[in-house]
Amino acid sequence: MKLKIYDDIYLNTEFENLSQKGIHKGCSGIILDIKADECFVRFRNHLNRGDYACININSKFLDFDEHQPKEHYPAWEHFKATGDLEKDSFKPQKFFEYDCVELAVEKDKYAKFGVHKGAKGAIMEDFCIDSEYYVIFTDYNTGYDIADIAVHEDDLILVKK
Amino acid sequence: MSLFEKIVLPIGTKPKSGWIKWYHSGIPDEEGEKRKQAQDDAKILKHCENCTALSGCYFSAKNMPLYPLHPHCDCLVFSISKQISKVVATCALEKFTDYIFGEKYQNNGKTRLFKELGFTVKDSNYLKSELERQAKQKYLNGDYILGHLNKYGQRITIDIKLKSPLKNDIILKTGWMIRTLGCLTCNTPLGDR
Repeated sequence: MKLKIYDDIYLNTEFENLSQKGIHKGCSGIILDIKADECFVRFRNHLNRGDYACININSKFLDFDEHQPKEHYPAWEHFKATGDLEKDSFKPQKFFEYDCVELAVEKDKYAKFGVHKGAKGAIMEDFCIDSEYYVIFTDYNTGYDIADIAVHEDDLILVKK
Repeated sequence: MSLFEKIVLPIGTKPKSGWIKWYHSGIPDEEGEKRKQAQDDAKILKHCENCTALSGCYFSAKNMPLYPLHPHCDCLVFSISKQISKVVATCALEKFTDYIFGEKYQNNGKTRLFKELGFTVKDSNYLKSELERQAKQKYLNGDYILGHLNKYGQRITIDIKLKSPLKNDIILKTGWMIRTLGCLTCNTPLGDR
């Protein structure tokens, strides 16, 4: 099947150079451009929703999934015009489910939930969204929870793996 | 839209009884790869992440998030004409083995609380089963408290009654995440006081 722009695809082959960037066989993406047999693909990072990598790859290594609806085209055109198309690797995953972490900063967006610098908590999902992890913070004096909120990875430090 | 769903009252209103299904176009109901892809693309498409997290979720009409969530909200709310029955409440065993009784969390107070009640890591399977059983029933009865909503989803608190080996019956406030099509997953077996 001949692939087209704005086709959703899956990578059907494992490549060492791509795997080092976090992109593995089975990774989903969307074709943003095609020149002959070369597809320019925006791959999705399922471990960090919102993260992506743009790669040129031969169409024979891509399996068709479905075509994006026409009403989505303007949004993808906007991404092509304004997005960072040089980004060619996924962000490495910093934390994992059940990691014990500590809030390393004092910020209003966390403080409004009662979570302050030094609070300890647990990562409670096996993925993150926009590099923000879902963390349940606990009052270590009582054992009861303070709050469960999304915290940016740069604002957390690992206490125990 | 299934046979049991019909469009509800206009925006800003809700049925007085029964159940509703939250819906945002373009987001598949079933949890899995397709739903994750659609939610990933939702940001590019300028959709509200909280709304897309709710899409496909069932709520008791008497206990549902504010509708609409925000001005110009694209969400719809369908009433469900049939009593929902296929509720699945899941509490990962690791919530007890790796979290409550986990070595790295020995000092966070939760292990101590559970041990004071007479529970140890050996009770993990029993605790998991009991939480799942009761959470399912309470959810079906609409007996939960809505908590925080963000891009990860809608939290609810469910009171779970446990027979403690050492003390009188106790009530645990457990934290759950509402997933799609009548599913819940446990966030924390011991949340608020």
